[in-house]
Amino acid sequence: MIESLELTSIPAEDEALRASVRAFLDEALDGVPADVRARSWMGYDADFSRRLAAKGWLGLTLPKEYGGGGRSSFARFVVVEELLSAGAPVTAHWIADRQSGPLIHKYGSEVQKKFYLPRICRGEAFFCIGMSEPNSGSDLASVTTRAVRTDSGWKLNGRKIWTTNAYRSHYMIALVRTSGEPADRYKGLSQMIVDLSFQGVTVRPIHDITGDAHFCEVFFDDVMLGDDALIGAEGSGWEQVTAELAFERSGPERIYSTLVLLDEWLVFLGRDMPVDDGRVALLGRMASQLCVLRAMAISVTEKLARGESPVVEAALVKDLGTEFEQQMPLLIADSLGDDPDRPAPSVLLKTLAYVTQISPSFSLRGGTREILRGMIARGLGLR
Amino acid sequence: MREIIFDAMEQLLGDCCSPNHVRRIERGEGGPKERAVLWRALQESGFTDALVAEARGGSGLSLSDAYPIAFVAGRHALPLPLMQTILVRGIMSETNAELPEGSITIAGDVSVTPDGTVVSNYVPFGEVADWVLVDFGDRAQLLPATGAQRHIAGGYGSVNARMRWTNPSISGNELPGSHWRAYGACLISAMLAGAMERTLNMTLGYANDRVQFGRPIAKLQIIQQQVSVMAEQVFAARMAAQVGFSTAGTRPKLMAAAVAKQRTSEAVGTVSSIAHSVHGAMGFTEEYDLQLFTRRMHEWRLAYGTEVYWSKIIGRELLAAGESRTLDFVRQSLAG
Repeated sequence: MIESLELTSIPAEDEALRASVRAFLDEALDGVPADVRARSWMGYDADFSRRLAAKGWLGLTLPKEYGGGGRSSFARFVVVEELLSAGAPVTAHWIADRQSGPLIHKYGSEVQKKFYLPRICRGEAFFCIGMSEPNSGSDLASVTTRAVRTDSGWKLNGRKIWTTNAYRSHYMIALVRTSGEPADRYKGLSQMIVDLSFQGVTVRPIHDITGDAHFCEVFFDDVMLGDDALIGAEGSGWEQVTAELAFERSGPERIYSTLVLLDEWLVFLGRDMPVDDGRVALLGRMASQLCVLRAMAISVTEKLARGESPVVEAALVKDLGTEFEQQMPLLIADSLGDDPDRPAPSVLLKTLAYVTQISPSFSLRGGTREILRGMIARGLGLR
Repeated sequence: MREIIFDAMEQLLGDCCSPNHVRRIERGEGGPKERAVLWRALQESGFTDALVAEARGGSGLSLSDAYPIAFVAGRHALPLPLMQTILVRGIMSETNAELPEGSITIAGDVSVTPDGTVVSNYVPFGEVADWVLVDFGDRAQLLPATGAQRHIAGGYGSVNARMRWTNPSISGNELPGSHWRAYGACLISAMLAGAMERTLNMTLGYANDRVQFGRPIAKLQIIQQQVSVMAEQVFAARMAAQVGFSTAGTRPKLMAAAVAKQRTSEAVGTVSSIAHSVHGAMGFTEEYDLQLFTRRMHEWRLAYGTEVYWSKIIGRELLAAGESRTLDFVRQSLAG
């Protein structure tokens, strides 16, 4: 069942991280135009990721013995909040830091933890998530990519699609069938770590509506994996994926992916536009919504910090958050177009265009709106 | 602390403020006596002095501790201004002022005619309160409700009033002025959140009980999706109200109060329309209790400024701050 969300504040020792992250970003992002920063967690810069790692800001929640920061979810929240609101290019390490690292830490063997986690924390191992397939989207349990036992490990065949960053990642954690048939649904699924440099792996980037390439098609043709590719227990893939999605959905990126646009518009309003009731009300409304969404996201973070897996609460905050993010470019466009005699600066228009174009993905990635609402309904006792 | 207060309030209002009590008071049945009985029960519970300092015989709670009182009042559609009374008494107790007997509400607006007549067009709970706190800007004053001409300012069952005092006494019962609309807005945001949560619970219950097409309508995806949207709005409203109440003192902070009222008011339309849509014609009847809550939600949305009013206040403050990062403003100025 769904639990109520209580107002919580970020502990002072975690809040204290903010100043140094801010100072680092002010310098690192100096001069980067808003329409580039608007890509935020879709923006790729491997060197930037390694510089963050050198500061100790990757793998913050992982134990120190594996190279992590040994900090709480709140510490990660503060760092992530600063990165996203500034529009830092974080996609290279994003998935590893957000979910693959915590997943390996939770379910992996000691050998796997010792191998992968320090590399993740150093910004040397970038991960992607192999969930969707050409015939498996929202109906994830119908995956057909299959790993078959061999003498020395597993033989993998199949195909994944919409895999963000596959062409510039080192590893994929793939949900595959290790026994039974697609009709067996949740039974017989397992998670495998696939080294994307292996023979038989073909990765093809797909260009999206903005002209960028981030998601990919990935083909597996008789890819030979070792015994150590299996992560967690054979047949526990569904349970593990559910836990992983709680990490994926509960982060603040679900409310902050359009903040660069909001701030660019704020500066334009303050500098170039006469104060007008409609614009001021819209600005205030978005700040108020952001305030409440942030408080909800912090409350979910508190549940993570207590070791809970707030699956339904995270789905609820994500759905509200993406609605806010998707409305923002529409409302700002309305406002910018309400006075053609006061044209907006081109960087603002470019930022708006990027966010408008990418915004349909907000309610697709990490679970569609309809799937999330189905989960909430179950949490409410309707299913 | 919050859980103890929540449970105690639930038990108290479960006993003395049933839906039928609410209906009787709304209709004026039993006259002032009916209200007096309910008010006495509230007073004897000690809740009216929740924010009064312990040295003056109260409980000395913070506003944050008192959040469940307002929330549960909303959950039961309490037709008396308990939370307004609690705040005014709490703030008055910080001075040497004598605390008056009876219930106190806060006027949403005021105008003074040249001949000294005081008019407030929208006094939430004005029809049932004993005192009205009127904010003149430079000062605020408690005016006796019995000295006013009152007209109901609302539709069926409303206890809000338009009030008019000719030549009110301008001495005594004075408090500092200027922030009382925000205080009223903050208090009512928690009542709104409580009322919205009640409608969500009723909607879940109804959807699971009502059978159509051979199964409970809760099993229909279209109902599930709608109620999920409703729940999201209720969760956001509850969080917004908590932001408004998040102070260790007695007075709400202006910007946190603005967020609380903006976000709870914005949720009203969606929450009310989905509740009614799922309940069908039954939810539209006088006899069924849903209307006790949805009628109030719309009234409370209007009380002390709607979401647009508070959005403008927040937007102006953000522009005036000269901030280039919305999130910094949210963290430093809005979040309470």
